[in-house]
Amino acid sequence: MRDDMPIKPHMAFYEFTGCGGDLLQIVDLEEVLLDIVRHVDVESFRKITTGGVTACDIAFVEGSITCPEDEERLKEIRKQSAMLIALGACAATGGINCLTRLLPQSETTAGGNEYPKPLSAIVHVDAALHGCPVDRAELLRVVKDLLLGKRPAIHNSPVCVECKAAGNVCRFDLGKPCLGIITRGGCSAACISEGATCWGCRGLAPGANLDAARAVLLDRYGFSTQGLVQLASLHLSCEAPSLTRAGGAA
Amino acid sequence: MSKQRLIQIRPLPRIEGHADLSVSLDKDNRLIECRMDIKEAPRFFEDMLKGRSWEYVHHVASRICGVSSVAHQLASIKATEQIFGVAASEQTSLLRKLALYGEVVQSHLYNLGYLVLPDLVGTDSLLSLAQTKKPQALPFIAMHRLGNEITRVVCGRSIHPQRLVPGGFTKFPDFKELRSIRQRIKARMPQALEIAKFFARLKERLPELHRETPGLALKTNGQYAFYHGRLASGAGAAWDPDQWTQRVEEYTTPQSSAKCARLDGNAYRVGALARYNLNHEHLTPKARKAAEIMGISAPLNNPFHNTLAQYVEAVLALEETVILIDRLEETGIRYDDAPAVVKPQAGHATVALEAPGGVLFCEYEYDKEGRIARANICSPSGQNLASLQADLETLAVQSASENDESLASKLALLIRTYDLRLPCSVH
Repeated sequence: MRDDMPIKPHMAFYEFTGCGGDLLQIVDLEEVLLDIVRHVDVESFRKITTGGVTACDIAFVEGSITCPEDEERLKEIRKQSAMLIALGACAATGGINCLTRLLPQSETTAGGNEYPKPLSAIVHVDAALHGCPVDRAELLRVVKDLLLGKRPAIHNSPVCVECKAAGNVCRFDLGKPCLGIITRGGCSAACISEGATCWGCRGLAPGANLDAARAVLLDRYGFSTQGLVQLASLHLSCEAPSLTRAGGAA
Repeated sequence: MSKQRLIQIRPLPRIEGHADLSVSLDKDNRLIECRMDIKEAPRFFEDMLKGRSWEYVHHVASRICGVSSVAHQLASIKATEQIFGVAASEQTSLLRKLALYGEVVQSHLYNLGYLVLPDLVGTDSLLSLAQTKKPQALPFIAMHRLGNEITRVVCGRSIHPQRLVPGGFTKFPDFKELRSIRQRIKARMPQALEIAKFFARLKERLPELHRETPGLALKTNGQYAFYHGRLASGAGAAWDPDQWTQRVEEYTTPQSSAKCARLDGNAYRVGALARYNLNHEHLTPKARKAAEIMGISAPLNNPFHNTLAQYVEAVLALEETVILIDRLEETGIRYDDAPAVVKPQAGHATVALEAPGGVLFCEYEYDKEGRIARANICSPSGQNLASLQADLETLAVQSASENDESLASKLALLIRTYDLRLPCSVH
């Protein structure tokens, strides 16, 4: 973290492969985005203004890396940026794009199953904003922290912590598989609170015990291996491939 | 060797996704080539969907496009329900339409406000406009917010929402929030017509470009069609979505990672312009008023007028939202309307729905366990590419005598006007 963050930092927003939803969450800050841009110089934000790769204090990077040319462009961005923040699941963990890594190679014309990759597979990432999409409240908090020269605090506890605080009935007790026990929190358990289940979009919580999770889901609550594979494949194909195979532990 | 003029914009700023534009003209300003190279990396969604269980299929489909994730979820859910014979409740259909109207407002205001408007007022972005002429920019942002709020209140969040599932909703909107939305829409209507006046003044800055092209859109009885309907194009007989593979032919070109499409062998347009031309008799009163103020009437064949048609549709979507909230108030929301029970079975279906950018086809085949055996998704942006190419060529020829900067900015504006979502077209 830089302790010499300028009063008006230069900011850049870049995108790689994904649905574009995380930079859209920045646009969706609506009037609040106008307040932010009064405190920064936006050097590059091709999605809604203009700009190429340029020197900046803080770069937000969305999307996953899908080809060697992307790797080179990302390295150039890294070189030009004092801080690089991965924005959203595709950038932070590879996200849903990594479902293709489970496919037999012949089914895609991409460069084998080596891609897609998260940003951290190529360059050092100073902080990651997780989620598919990123949470606007968390995004705003991180931007404020950065403008104040603070290292942004990123949640480390699993989703269950916030889920209990939200007063939700445990999905397991409703007979629904859920990945809250191994998934990084910070989302206020948004999906469970909306009546869905946790599908792991924020990636693994640090120290997540995958073998224990498998035992809890399969042995204790009796969910099928297929059910677990289906759920874990959505967002954890890159981070936790062992959960996305019927066969068992890695 | 004749001297060539080469105009390049790489990468194109202010579009959704990655593309380069390059135009070459000979010394007599004759067009040699006009090409848009689409650089978006494919994510292979049809392959990603294969083997997915029906419970998660719409969550995968959602990620095709951030700007129209609700439309992708709804098309996916409709296909799944049709195959499994699930009949969603009337309340479910009503709430889904609300969610889609919210997305139409959000998506249209994003395209016309954030991507197109800066060209018309001579700035590099809506953010810059907000710094220099705040009163001009704020109404666009406020209306964009309103669209997002409608979707959030109905679906939980506006991008990749959680509450929509095959069979119904996992949670229902709070009626207080719906009432507040309705009140805000009503309060905003006078300003919405002021924006129409603003566009009426900006209209002369839209280049004249006229090329008759068939349009394809849904049509239904008594209403401007978004959520359901049959496919209509010009005066021809309407057809059902399951005929789409006989009518629409997808093909690839070397300069694009996106699939293009032909309708009965021809380039065609989808989206606001096509919908307006086929549905204008069902405009709601304020939307009709907005069209009158802007001085547009069907048939529109200048592609630059897509922006104006989008604005009319945004006003329509807000009015339809009020009508639906009124109807919900009459009956009251049934909070016990649990999702219909889904019994997976093998089968095949194609559905069509109007995403904000145009008609979206979703064709699924399920195995008997309720897993996707085959998926085929045909997005609006891909369907527009052939027509865009023809319009770019026409515009390049028509404006060839202008200087490089003027020509390049017109071509870029045309591309922005087309409301392309390249991640969506490539998927």
